[in-house]
Amino acid sequence: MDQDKVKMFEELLIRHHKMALAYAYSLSVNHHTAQDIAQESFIVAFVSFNNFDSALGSFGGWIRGIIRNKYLERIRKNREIPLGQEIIDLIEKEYENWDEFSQKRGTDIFVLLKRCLENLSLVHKRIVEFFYYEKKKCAEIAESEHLSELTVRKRLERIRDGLKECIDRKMTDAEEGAVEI
Amino acid sequence: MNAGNESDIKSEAMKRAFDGLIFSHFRSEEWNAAGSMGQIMAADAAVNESKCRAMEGLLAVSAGLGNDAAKNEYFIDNVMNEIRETPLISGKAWTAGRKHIFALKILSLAASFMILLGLGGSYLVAHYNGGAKGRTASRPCLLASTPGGLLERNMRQSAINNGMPIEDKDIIRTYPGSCSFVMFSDLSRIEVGGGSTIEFSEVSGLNRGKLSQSGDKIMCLREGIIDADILKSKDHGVFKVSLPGGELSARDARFIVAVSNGRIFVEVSCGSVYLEPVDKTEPLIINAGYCLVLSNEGTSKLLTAELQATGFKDNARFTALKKQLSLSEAKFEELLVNLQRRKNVDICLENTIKSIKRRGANYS
Repeated sequence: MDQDKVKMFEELLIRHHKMALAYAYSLSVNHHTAQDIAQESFIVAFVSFNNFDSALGSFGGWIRGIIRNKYLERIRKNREIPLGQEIIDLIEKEYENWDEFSQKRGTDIFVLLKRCLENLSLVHKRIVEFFYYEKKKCAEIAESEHLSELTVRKRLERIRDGLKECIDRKMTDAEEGAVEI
Repeated sequence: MNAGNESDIKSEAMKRAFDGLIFSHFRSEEWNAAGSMGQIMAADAAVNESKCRAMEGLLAVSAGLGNDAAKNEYFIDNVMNEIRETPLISGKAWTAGRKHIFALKILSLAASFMILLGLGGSYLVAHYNGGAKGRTASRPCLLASTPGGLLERNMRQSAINNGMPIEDKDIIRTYPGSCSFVMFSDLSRIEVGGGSTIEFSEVSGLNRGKLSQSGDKIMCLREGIIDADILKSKDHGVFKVSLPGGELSARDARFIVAVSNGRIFVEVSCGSVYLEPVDKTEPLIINAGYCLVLSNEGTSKLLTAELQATGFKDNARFTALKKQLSLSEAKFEELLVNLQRRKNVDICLENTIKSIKRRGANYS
């Protein structure tokens, strides 16, 4: 085995694995499935690494293509209802933008997310921590926070929208050079 | 009253018709609007869904999946461990140039394949039509016979069936009054006259791939008569007949050769025939229109018309006598009578060579 290629692939893996995992999670909305899909996709990518031509596209785009195929393959295998093609395309576009930004600015999108998370109110931070870090269900969060489940869901939705807007704003600002990230 | 009722009915009908028109008009507009709204909402839903999912992915990774270094390392290690055990598909990256080269390779391969196919086809065709030297001929050498023709193969005699193939070492015997025919792979043919014995030593283009390296057709005429029509073989093979007094060879010629009691009679009607005597003297060339009679006696008489071999007139063994043919042995005369029967012409045994200079003997 060509050790140089393994090393090169390892570097790409380190650089792109988080985005690949995030993309896999966006498609599957399941932690374990996302991890499996991402892992399988990286193996496939390595096996066909010789076919990767950086002139034709980024590694991120290539790995996302593999992840998408793996996701659809899994869906077909398990006879589940797949995500609509339009939604998959839109998700892909979103990740493509983030990937492009990361490459252009040399800044990880997760850094922007961290900044945006820091700007959240305490209540919202708690909800995010409960839901995403502690993996509590909406009903559990609602009970502990003395809120209705619907309110928790609505708040989560708003938090996500807010974070998305925050990231978009920071990206725009960075591209215009108005604010240092 | 009636008139009043009629007008009421008409106005009612008119009203309802307009109502219907107006209703359908507004309803369709509503429906269109609803359809558009549905599409917009669906599009919005897709955008929202995609945004939501994209952020979900980021948050999930940021929070749970790959937030801390240990988890990242674990994932990377997992992948790398599996990768180290996975063989890489050989080859270089498929750049546009490489794809171009690959396409060229495929094209050249296809072209080579087509050329090979063409060559193979022409080779097979060539083979079927006689074959090159030492190659397999697909067309067998066939036999036909009138009743009275016998084939001796492996010490066994059997009647010749029409269309049966000949093999090396086969011997053909014909009773007086019968005749057999042999068609070679290059469409040359010989007619074996009655009372003949001929052994096929080596015949080019025989069936089952038995081929002579030289491409020659070699046979031995022990007794009897052969009427041969030999075509110019593509494999440059020569038709050779071993005779008691020498060896006859021909290419692209038509001739008759007869053997009786060690005496040889050769009559050429087309092309040239070479006769190499057993004593290794210079070969005799018998051109079309000439006839030769060769005796194996010590002071044999060469009875021929215009023998074309220079120097032979001085040879003690041969004497050229123009336009004369004297036959002393009864058996040889019988052969000529046989010829006469087959050709269905009269033979005058005196002054026989008079009008032989054309294809097909005329023994008038």
